[in-house]
Amino acid sequence: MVLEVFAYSFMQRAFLVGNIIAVICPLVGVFLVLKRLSLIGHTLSHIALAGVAFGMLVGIYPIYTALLFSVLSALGIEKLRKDYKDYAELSISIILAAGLGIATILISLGNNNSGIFSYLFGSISLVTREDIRIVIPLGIFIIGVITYYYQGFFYTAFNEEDAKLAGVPVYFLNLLFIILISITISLSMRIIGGLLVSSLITLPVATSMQIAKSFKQTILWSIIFSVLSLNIGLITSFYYDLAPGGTIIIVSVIFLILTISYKFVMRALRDNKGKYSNKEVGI
Amino acid sequence: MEEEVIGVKNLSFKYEDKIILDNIDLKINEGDFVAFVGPNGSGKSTLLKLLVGSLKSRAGEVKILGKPIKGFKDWKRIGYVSQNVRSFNESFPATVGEIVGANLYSRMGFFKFLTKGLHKKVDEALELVDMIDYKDRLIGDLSGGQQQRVFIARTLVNEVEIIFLDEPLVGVDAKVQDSFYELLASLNRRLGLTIVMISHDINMISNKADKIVCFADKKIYTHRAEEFDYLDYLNVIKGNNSMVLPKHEHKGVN
Repeated sequence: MVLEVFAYSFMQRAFLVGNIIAVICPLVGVFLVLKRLSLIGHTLSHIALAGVAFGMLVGIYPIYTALLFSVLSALGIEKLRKDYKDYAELSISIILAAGLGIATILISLGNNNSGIFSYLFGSISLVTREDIRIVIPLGIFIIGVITYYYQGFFYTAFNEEDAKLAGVPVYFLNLLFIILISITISLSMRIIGGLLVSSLITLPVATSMQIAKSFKQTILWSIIFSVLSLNIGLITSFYYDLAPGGTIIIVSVIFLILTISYKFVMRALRDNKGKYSNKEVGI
Repeated sequence: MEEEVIGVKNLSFKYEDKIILDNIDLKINEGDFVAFVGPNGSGKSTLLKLLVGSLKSRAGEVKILGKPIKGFKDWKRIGYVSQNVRSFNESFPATVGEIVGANLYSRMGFFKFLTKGLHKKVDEALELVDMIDYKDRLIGDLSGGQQQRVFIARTLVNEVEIIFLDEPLVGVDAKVQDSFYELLASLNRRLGLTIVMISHDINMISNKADKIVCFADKKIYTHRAEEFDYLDYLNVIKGNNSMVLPKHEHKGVN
């Protein structure tokens, strides 16, 4: 019965695109969370939504316009972040408001509600060959850039000032990074949907941080959680005819709850053991 | 003759219209252990920042390791532990080894990964500060004093010749401070490291440093440690908390 899922070519496409996304989302997500910029993901996904609506309106493939809109506004956020240095979150909410406003106008102009619906909540049946042609090269590009600049991104996330002194090109890496996030978000909208994409960027990282014992482990575990959530979510979505964005994110949330519970139980057990051994010492 | 590693001539600096340093000279030799003392706002951190190039002055000359600071590129040979080095995110999921290793960035090859040789450098640096057993521990799990040692190791990993420290022990208890100063003194002796630090700690000034630079009235005065009357210094501090540097004759200027 499980095999039936893989028999359809649209599901094969969904799994292929989905798994690439499941790797790149937490990969950029780790740095995003540690730089305390989680909300940028949310903002950029709303901008990308405006891009999708624009693409539908003028007849360009929506992922391209989503890419264009989100990369441009990512650069805008970086600029505003410098102008409002002490109110970084202000720049994010300004762009968020602008993005959602434009998206709303473009959607109501477009009159294509079912199309936009699939970009809001994700869709498995609509992943096209065109999507695969975009996602594979850009996915490889993102993995390549993060691997190449791994130490630089790591140091910048830990402490920008010290990274600068160590010769890390901090300004360039920050710019590059925000472009990587906007690409990741635009690519992920097809499967996860614009409303939930930022969750796949942050949730697996949050789960991983509960158990990881090093930075490398944080990355590794977050990718494992994300890939598991995506595949379980996609299969559930197929059999119960639910929007994949919802099922994927709920599976991620379940992983987070399980991890926190596991940690809680382990700590309780350890404390208990400690109590007894102390007593023994006391005797 | 001892080799000069830091040379400052006729240096002045002002923030907007406020003059902080006025036409100062300073000479630090290889292997010196120098303490900067003086009241808050007297220009200690400013001079330190001028020496590591994060501030630039229009008037005067700064030479580091024999080269003018303007074109100085050899930052690998300089270590800087800033005042807010410990104000990082305590739950950052990185190990001591990962953090020390990141400072080798400019020594990494095309792909920015740690090779075997670089891993060895990390181990050596951690051994120097007695923290090798903590290599795989998360940085946030360490105490303040241990973190400070890790940040020293992070500068040592690049085989530095001068380490600048800007009040590195704020918020660390006295016992840990002592062992930290002992560590610095031993690095100074064993490796011939030049150490320049800002400190308010009289104990360290009297025992460990061999040159004391006093900051007062936009000027600086260099003393040899043995010439510095720290009892006088102590008495005045006890009498007046607002004044960290007491009045004293600036004798023994070299």
